Amino acid sequence: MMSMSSTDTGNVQPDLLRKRWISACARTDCRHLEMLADGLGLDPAAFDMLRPAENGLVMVRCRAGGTGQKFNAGEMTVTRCSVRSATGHVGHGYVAGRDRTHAELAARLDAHFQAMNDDQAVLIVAELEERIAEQANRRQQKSAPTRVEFFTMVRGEDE
Amino acid sequence: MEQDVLLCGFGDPVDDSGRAFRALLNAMAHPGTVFPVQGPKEHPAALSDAASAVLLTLCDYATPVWLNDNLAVGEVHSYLRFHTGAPFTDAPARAAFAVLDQGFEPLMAARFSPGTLDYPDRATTVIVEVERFGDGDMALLSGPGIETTTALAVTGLPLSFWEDMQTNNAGFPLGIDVILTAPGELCAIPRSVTIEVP
Amino acid sequence: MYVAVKGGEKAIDSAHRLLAEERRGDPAVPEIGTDQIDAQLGRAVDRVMTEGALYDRKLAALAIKQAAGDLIEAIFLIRAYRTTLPRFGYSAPLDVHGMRARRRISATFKDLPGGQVLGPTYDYTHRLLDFALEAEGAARDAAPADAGADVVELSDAMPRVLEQLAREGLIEDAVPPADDGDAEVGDITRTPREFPAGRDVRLQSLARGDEGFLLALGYSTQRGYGRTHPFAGEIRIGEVTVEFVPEELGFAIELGDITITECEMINQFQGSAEQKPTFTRGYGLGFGQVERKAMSMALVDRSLRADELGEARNAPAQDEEFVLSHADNIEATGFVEHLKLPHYVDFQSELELVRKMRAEHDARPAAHKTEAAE
Repeated sequence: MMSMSSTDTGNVQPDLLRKRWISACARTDCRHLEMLADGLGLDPAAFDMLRPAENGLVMVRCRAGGTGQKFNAGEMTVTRCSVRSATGHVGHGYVAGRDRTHAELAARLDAHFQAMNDDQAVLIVAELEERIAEQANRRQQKSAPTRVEFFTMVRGEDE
Repeated sequence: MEQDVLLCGFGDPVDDSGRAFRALLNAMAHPGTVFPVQGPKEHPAALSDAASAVLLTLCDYATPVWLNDNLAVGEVHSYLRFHTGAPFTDAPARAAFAVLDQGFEPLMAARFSPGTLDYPDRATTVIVEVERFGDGDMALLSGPGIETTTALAVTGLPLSFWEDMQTNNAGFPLGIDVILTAPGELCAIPRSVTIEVP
Repeated sequence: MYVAVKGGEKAIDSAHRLLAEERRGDPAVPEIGTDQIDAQLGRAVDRVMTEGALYDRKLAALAIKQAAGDLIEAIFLIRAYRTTLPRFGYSAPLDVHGMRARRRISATFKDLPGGQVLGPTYDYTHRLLDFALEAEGAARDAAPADAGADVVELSDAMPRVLEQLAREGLIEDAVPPADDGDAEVGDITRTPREFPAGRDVRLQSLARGDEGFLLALGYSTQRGYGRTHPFAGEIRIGEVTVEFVPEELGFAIELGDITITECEMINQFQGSAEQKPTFTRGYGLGFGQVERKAMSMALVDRSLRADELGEARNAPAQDEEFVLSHADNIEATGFVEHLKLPHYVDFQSELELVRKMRAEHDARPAAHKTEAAE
């Protein structure tokens, strides 16, 4: 599903790229975001808190049979934060879970990416996306040996 | 929602809203007595700091808000949406909270929801911005929460405010409850109060 | 009418202290960590998240530790905690087609595109207690077999079994109702249930319903109490990415991944002289790896669709009011356990009544008594 590792900014609409980095920040672990923020020279003191990090809930919605009538399945914890950078950009962070630091980092990075050159931003985002995809794939592929290979289930004499 | 109209709300939402809630509790428990209230870090110019504090404290995604014409502007909308998630309604009778800006537009209490006998709490709570307390139109309040009488003088009330409230409060247990807000201060007139205009 | 309980405070404080002591157990034994519960008692965590109706592994693990393993008590803690958090909104409907399935099986078709992937399942274990697990470090021997060069990676393409059947017209399609865009989706956390309940309210109630209750009801449908003739069309466990539209952004963003279990049951076909027969379906879903729950939920979902499918409601699992009113284990235990509250005055009046009736019985003329004895 996450095949968007393109570094081509050509016809990318601003919203699409912004969706990518906001999503990537949400799905990247806090520690890695911290390293990224440090690497980019982000100073927390240079940001105003518009809406301090708060824990809340998002109701997870599903469809019966995957494609049918919508229903509410249950809630998940989500933390959000909004900041205003010295350049006047407003950054929003929304992350699954209750880690306030994660949401703050995500918000600052959103503001920072907006001030950044698109070409630069795309490179960083693509790297984050690759990391996320690789982790997700690795987890799924652990089940690969458990797939039943029917063609090997033959009666003994063929061996 | 435009990015450049996003303002800060409470600096420390938990503590700040707790303090504002305490001020409101005191105000409701002692009708007609003026209490100080601390405003949020930032608020729209169209609202007083006290009214902003009250709205940030009480509103959420389940409380429809009605704003009078002067207040139904982008800045106020954005502020309340961003910080409280409150939905807006055109119909005063569907509002959980209503706000009248400081001017002389009549309250017209009857246009809001008076609640129902089963759920009197579903009445609209109306926040009325005023200029200041201490002088101006005066009324004597008595009833639950007031030992004898409390004299309340207010400058900047809506036209015929006390008459309107007398009619409203005659409908107890139904009727609206009013919170008067001035810079840095608030005062409450719940429907349980008896109002005498000398 | 309740009697004020005087003098209980001291005893209650002592009870809480004793509870904390018992929960900790022998201090010589290492204290269990919530990270250990999350990692090594994952199925308990999954149940608490599903029935607590709150996806947060760490919170569920904490609740389990605090409740000393009493899962319904843990679910209670989770339900209580969630009332303290503000609701930011509703997610976009989960993109289950994008699930990275780690387990995916079907009992109806042997060869599926994407294959039968067993995943980490207990299904084929022999159910013999493994005493090696008593000693720590047993995990050494449990390391998964090397992937090896000949293992083909799982593909992204795992088309949903029932969708294929629906395309051929063999099973009813899962389509959104006509008013899908505008209609409010029922939410029992905001509005109390009313009967008859829509399918959205039913599914939400079942998703958080007690596993044991739904298991029993599902079982009953197989034993003849209602007859839905089920087949496990597809069961999937894997991660899906949750999307959400923050109002201040105006576009969808990804919040993170959650693990879900889905079960699609293929049930008794229906048809008539005018309408070609098609199979019918039931749907089950839960947070984490909750296969038994998802399967049971799918069986009960199908049974509760009786009206929609023109079936007579004869069996308990088809009785909507019965099922939905008793499926929530917190509601249930609330009322059952309330019996522990003082009912002294109620009982006192009953006692007096019984004594009075017994006295009246004794006071009756002797003749009647001997007649009764004969």
